[in-house]
Amino acid sequence: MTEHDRDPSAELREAQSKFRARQFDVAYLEAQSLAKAFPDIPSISAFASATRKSLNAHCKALIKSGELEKAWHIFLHLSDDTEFAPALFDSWTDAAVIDLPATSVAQCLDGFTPSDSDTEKRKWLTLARIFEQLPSNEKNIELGFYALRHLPGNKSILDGLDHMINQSQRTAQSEII
Amino acid sequence: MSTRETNEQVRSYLRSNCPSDLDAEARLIAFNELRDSAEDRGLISSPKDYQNRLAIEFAIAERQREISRENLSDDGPETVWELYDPNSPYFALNDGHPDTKTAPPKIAKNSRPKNWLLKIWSLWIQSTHRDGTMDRIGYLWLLADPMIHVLIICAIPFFLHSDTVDDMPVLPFGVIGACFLMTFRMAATGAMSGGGALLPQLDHPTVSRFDVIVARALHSLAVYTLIGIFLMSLIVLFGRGDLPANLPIVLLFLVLNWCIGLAYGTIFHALIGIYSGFRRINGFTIRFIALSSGTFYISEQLPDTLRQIVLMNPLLHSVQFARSYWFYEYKSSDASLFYLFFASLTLIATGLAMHMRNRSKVENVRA
Repeated sequence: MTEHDRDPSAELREAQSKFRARQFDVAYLEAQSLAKAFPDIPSISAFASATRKSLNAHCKALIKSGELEKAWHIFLHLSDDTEFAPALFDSWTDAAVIDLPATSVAQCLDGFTPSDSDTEKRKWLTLARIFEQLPSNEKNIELGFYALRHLPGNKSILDGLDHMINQSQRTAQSEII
Repeated sequence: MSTRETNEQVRSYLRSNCPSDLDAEARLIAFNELRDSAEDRGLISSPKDYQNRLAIEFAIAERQREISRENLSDDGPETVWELYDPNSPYFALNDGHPDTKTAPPKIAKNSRPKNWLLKIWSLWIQSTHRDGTMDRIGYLWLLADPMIHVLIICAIPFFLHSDTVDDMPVLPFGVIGACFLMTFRMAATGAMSGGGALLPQLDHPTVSRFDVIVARALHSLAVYTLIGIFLMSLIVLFGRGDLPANLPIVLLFLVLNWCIGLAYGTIFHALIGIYSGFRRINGFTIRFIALSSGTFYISEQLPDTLRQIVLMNPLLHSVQFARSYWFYEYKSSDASLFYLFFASLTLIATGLAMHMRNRSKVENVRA
């Protein structure tokens, strides 16, 4: 469908109805796509900006209420947003390393590519904090070696890796026996 | 090759190829080159040779520490991350070490009354500052606006009664009634209207929604106490009334009255969250409370049937007690201390219960 075939008013109404139904993430994505396609329509730009702010507020509220898995899902939508993402990421990591199991934090951070170097550094430092609690498996060992490329010589990662490698070798030996 | 040999080889390689004057970025590149070519250099047999890969990483860690010691500067770290990095000589988190095996402690919510009051005070200052700087003479309006309201309400008993109400001079009679009514009403509105200017403060881990509600409602108590004292001082100065019989007790009833307003506002804040139509019902309820609050009359003047209805309003009891402790001439025979405290406690308990029910719900964080 080309831009000429699209009806911006109908699409805006649909996105607004999703927003009213509290589907903030869906409304946000639709609003951003509309804003990209129709940058000259003020009502669409205003709605895109409003959904962006609402999504940020919603994500903060989710973090505050301890729904961290949901918050991460919402946060990923805003992860390229230079205004909101760094602060949201900081709040999430602070809450996550306390309340989520280390494996969940690692899983969430694993595929995340931050848009600025400060958040990048924070991501690896967060992973370093939880490394000693991760279960021993090939994926986590490789994640540890990869994290050391960003934080060379980090004591927590080295200790965590040492522990995981020793454990994996003990498991391998017991399997042979 | 054994892990010890690998470690020693890498250390000697890094000493010659990674001098201490290299900046952090260049070091990162040098380390990564070493890792990428480890297999070609014969340091590891395959990517699965974890022990030797780890030996390389330990050697890198050792070199990092050596460089940090050599580059230790009196001016402090180059970047803030060095305060957070346990390998850095500038590492500052000796307590609550993030790399310990136990999870870092949660930020303690300091619930000592003194600290809680300080928190409420600072939130209130922030909210007042925001209101006071919205206009060039914003601070003046903060007092002038409610004072005009009080004077307009005071005019009504002035028209209804000639000079005295049951031997009480009509001007101080009206000022007490108006200040009590407005304190209740503004406390309720403050608690009901959500975070407003204080909403961003909810991001702070030690600030709860309850703190914001109390801070918003506190404004009415502070403003109407000031206005009441100012107007009563003028009345005494111009000989239109006497000094109070017992000022501390009057102020105590004003605080209780404020608590009732706060509880009422918290209840409606929760109800509006459940169904927005309660906003309309609140409009009628608050008018009924105003009419039956004894601002313009005393219950002893009313016919029995009407008296029974208005006496159900706890606000009326607190207003009549306040007048009894202000004027030497009047002692209320209708007001009941037992009913007032029972009704206040019920309202406060209901308000807190509804707040507790609502506080964990994300959708109830209103602007």
